[in-house]
Amino acid sequence: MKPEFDFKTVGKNMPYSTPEGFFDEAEREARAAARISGSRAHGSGKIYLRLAYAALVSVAIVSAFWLKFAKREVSVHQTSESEVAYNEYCAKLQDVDSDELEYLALAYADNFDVLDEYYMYYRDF
Amino acid sequence: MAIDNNEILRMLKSPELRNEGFDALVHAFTQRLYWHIRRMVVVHDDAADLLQETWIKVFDGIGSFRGSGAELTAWLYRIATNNCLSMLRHKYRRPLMFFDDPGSRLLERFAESEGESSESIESKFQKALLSLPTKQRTVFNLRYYDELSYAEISRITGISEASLKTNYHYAQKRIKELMIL
Repeated sequence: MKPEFDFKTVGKNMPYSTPEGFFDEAEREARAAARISGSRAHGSGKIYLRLAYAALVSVAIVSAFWLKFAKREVSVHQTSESEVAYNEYCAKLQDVDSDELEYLALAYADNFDVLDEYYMYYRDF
Repeated sequence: MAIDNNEILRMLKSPELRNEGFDALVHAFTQRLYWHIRRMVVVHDDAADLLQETWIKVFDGIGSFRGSGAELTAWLYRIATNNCLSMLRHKYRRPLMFFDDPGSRLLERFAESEGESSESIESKFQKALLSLPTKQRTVFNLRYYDELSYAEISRITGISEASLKTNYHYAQKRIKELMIL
């Protein structure tokens, strides 16, 4: 019978270590950083943040309006860096096996429900 | 005497006691958050930086926290986890690899940092963890090491409890396979 790994043989032990006195220093730094952060946010700071946010939103609305209705000339001869990167990426994907591609897409999907379905039907554990 | 989350939260909500409450919070959670972050990012210096970033965000955001003392732990872990995921995406993502997971590069950093002790069972175990997809590894760490409930992990990750249980089971299975190789 094939031996099965027992998690108790490792428990919660880890091979990581920290410098001596690290946690005391980390707590001191956290308290100090918080004091500095707190003093900057005091009083009128928040009002200026709100004004800055409102200004950003206004710029975004105006920009969206301009982009939609302004006429622009586009050079058909220029290829953007993102297009180059995309074409190179597609070329690399052609070498990837379709099963592996499906596994990659599902394994790293944000939706774990999709991953569950993949594991149930496609992966032999 | 250990101070509980409800008391800490009460102090944080009080303008006069806010700093004292934050000090108590830092003392209560620094080690727990550090080790969670360290398990995510492997490298001590990265973990130390992310820990400080986490505390600054906690201090800045505590005024808008509307949860109870029981939800405070999940909230802290959520901030720490999101900081880690953001760092991992920016630091270890290879260009043109949309489905890239930083696990392989973290394994390299792990081997560099552990050196001679890299053949211990603890090291082998960590390597097995690092071979899991990032989100699955996060779920496993939160359940196995931090012993958080599925409800708390759900609040941290935004993943349903049912999915969490399934993925923890698969993570355990995968780790067992890797450990007997």
